[in-house]
Amino acid sequence: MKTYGERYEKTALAVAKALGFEMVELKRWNCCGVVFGLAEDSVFHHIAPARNLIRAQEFSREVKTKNLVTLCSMCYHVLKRVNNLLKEDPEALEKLNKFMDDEEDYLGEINVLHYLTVLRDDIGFQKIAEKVKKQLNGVKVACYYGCMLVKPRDTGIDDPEDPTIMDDLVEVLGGEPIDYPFKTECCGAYHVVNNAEVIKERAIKIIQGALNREAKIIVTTCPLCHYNLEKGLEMARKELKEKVILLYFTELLAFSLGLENLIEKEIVEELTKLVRGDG
Amino acid sequence: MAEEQVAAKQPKMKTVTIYVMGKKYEVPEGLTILKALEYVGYRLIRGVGCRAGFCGACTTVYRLKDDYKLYTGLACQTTIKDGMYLVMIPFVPAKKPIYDIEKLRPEGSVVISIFPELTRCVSCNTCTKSCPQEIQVMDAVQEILRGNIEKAAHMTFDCIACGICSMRCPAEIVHYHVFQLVRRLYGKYIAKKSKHLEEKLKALEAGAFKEELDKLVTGGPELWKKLYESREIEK
Repeated sequence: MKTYGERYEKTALAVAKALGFEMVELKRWNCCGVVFGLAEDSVFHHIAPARNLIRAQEFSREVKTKNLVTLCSMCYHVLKRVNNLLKEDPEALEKLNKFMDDEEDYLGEINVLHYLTVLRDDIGFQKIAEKVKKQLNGVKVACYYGCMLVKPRDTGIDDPEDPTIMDDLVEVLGGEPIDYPFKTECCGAYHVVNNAEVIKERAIKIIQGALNREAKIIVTTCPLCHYNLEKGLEMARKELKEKVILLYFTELLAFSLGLENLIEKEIVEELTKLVRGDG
Repeated sequence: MAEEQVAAKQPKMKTVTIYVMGKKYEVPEGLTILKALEYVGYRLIRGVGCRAGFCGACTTVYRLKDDYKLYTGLACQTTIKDGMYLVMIPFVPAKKPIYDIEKLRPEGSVVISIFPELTRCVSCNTCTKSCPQEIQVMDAVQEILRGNIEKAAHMTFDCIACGICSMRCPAEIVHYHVFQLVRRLYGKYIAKKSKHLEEKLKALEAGAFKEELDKLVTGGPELWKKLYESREIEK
């Protein structure tokens, strides 16, 4: 979010402001650990996310909100899952609180939210519709959800197999969300580090799937999905005939709300062409 | 005067019991660990330096009576306590990679490529708890992971490279070498260049202060002592 995903953070913060809610970065935070530890008898791998929840608890007194919003799908997944665990399992909570004797005890009162659900539940898509300055004029958009945002069911923000939350948002912006079979397909995640072929194969499948339904834009919610699709696009340039623009969904939002100055110039030009109908 | 009377007249020295590498000693209370070690007869030729909490050489590990915690500190800055169980660590072994600062960029990914174990941080915060300089060690590691070299450099400015954090870290990060790299990157690529220094250096090279410098070089110990004692700082 601070390096590769900078575009995502920048546009998300600006869009929030334009829609009338303010987001403040936690004063102190650490990496969430990226993967939720599945070993049921070990809480050690929950230390990192739990510490973030404690830092959020400390900060909540200053900023007067218990809502912790994330942009990254994986941060959301890990923080939400650990938060649920600590709310439901007093033994795990006590163990972690005892281990972290350098921090105040976590009380289990933080709400972990994803930015998309704030837009849907707190702002309301209808209110966003009223603020749209540039209609997308039916441009076809493929929404890519990946895994962590919607799975498993008890932490996901929408139906795990057929999520529509981003599609609904695209519709509000005047775009045409397309239905394609790979919207919750895994992007290959960390295989990109040591087995880039996996990423290429995955990305081709997902991107080609979207292109087959004439998508001109693919939007994502996760910096790693975005990175992998971008890498895949680079590697598969020869195999893919049509062009597609890869964006964070907040960039598309920023464009619609008239915040073009926050988006890369070339992207704005291409989007403008698409909306005009000569893309 | 009889010997007992002399002993009775002297105020009785309060002592505490400490264990050095498992051996029991009675030492006067109020000493630092370093002085207590010398009091019982250790001659320290390694693992001791400035004696003032600045050099980071006298890394020490100890436990206290009826306390499960493992404590760490600098021997020259920590006062002994009754029942203290301790050992000094004369040297902290650590991998010290060689790099060419001219060929690096001030980015988190560059630091990670030299110290890949950084990404093993599980945020347990043991490093922070162990730091005698009260540096937010883990937070600094996290800043590096998200690419904020400048912030990490500022946060670790007080690091004295005692190595305690690196001995305690379950991810086996060598924090003090990492932080040194971070500060070098900051100094070389991010910090504002001080113009006056450049100008002074140029002036020096051009021969300004030549007379004063020559006087210093040829002056000899007597002059140096006199100049040292009359430094402005002493006034």
